Amino acid sequence: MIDKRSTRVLTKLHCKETFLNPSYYIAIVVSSLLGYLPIRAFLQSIGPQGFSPADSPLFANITGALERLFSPVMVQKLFAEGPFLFALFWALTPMLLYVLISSIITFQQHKDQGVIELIRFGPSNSRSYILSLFLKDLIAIYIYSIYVTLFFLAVSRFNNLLLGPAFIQALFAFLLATLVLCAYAKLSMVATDSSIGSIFLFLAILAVFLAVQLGTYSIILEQIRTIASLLSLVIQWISPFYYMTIIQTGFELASWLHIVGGILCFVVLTGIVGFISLWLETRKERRL
Amino acid sequence: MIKTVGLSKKFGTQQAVDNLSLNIDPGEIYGFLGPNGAGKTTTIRMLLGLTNPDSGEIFIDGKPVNPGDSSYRALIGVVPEKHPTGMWKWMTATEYLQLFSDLLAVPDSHSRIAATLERLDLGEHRNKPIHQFSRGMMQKLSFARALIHDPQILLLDEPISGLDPFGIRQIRDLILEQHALGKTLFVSSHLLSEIEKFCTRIGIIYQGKLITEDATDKIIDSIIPSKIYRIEMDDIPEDLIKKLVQLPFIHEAKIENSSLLVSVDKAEDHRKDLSNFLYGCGVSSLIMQEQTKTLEEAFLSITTLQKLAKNEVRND
Repeated sequence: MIDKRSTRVLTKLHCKETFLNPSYYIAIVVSSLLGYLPIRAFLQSIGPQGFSPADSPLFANITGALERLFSPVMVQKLFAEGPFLFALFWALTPMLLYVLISSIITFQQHKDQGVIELIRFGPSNSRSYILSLFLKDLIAIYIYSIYVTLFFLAVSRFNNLLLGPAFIQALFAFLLATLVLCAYAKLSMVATDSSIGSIFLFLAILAVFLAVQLGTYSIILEQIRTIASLLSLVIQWISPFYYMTIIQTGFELASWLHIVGGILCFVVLTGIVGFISLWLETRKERRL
Repeated sequence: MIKTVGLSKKFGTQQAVDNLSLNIDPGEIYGFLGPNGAGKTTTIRMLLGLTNPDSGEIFIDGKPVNPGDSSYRALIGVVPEKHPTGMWKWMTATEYLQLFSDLLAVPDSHSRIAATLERLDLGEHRNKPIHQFSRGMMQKLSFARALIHDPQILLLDEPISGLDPFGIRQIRDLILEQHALGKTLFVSSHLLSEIEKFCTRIGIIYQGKLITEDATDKIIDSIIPSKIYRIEMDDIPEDLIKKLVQLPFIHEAKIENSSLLVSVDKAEDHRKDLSNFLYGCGVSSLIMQEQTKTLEEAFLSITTLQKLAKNEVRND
């Protein structure tokens, strides 16, 4: 059973703990600067004669590598509205990792120190504690997403660049994927008894999903695409990246069925992974 | 107020708690004693629902405790043995108590927090970050947290361990104050000399089993059946011990630290008989004092007897 009051109180506590921690702001600055790099490279590619990727070695390298790995069509799609779509993933991914990994470390530290037990005297339970960490992660990432959007909006205004609907659509899909990724981070957190173990497990889950998803687009080797496609038949159902593509397809085709279906899949997958995490924790708690 | 029936818990092959039945009435201060690893903390964890028993039942305030149900914990205030010190370093004492007040939905929490901190002499430290608190201050803050929702039951795990004499006295006064308010206190401790000062009843647990349970003085009487007199004298004749043990009311006589220790029947006062006998032997006692028997002695006797019994069974 989840106690709503405890969850609310603990979410508030975790948020306070996060927002009082200078490392959150350092992560914001580092992530947004990382996001700004491709924008800056793109801006350097614009000369008096118009857009010329060769003018910026960094931009040329990024697009070149992506074209070799995937396809020129995909790269064209990615940069169709300028650099912001690519910059968005560049800016959100490190922050997402920071928030989720720091939550894993906090959980294990609190567990080792007896804080969770103290909260259970509260009276609360570790289910409420895990759910509150999940909510805190979402709040921390969503606040950052607002900041990044405003930052990119300011950059686009100052440089007369387009921040079009593709950016908003990608942001929307990413924020939905965050739900599932947060749930997977919580699953990794309760599945192992050490910070290192949990972090490795979470990164491994993330790597598998990414490898399978990107592998299906790969043009380097036919075999890679074949294997990735085969694996994808099973893994795609539990991968947030698959549902991201469904939503993106929905936006491209203006298909509400895809969009609503994708949203529902995200919510259901989050629910399932979250439920497994809480069930696992309850089982561990009772076994003590 | 607290009742357990046939409570058992096994960790692997080790029987941590074995068929433990307790019945603690409202308003009691129940001392729960036992050597390290006897099963005290496991029992407390089971009472709090933090560890599931393998078998047996727990009743708190007359209601059975169901696994997974944590709502009854609102009736209980807990002072754990170890207090997490590295957590929430930024929190002040007030913020710390506010957190638990919010978790417990304490009405009028601000004034209650202020009053509780004042009561525990922490008023002037209310805005101090808790990581700056000493061990004693942290223990008092832990007490404040346990009392913040005015619980009917207080579970105290080693509440005075690691405190200075002043801190021990404060906590002891606090325990007696809560007792006077009609609260039920369950105190687990190994500081027996302190426990016997305030517990109305004690239970001794050894290897998961409740060995004995009674009022402190009754336990002492049942374990140590004789009175001991310490007699100080200038010179102890060599054959005095031999003569003394021939007297019908004397159980044992020995010399310890230049004093004569005489163990006698506790039913009657034998001081006069003893003085007359010593006078007859040509010695005059300088001081004769009845030695008070302590809970510690009773506890040691019980646990030693248990150890011996266990070894005898093994040898058989």
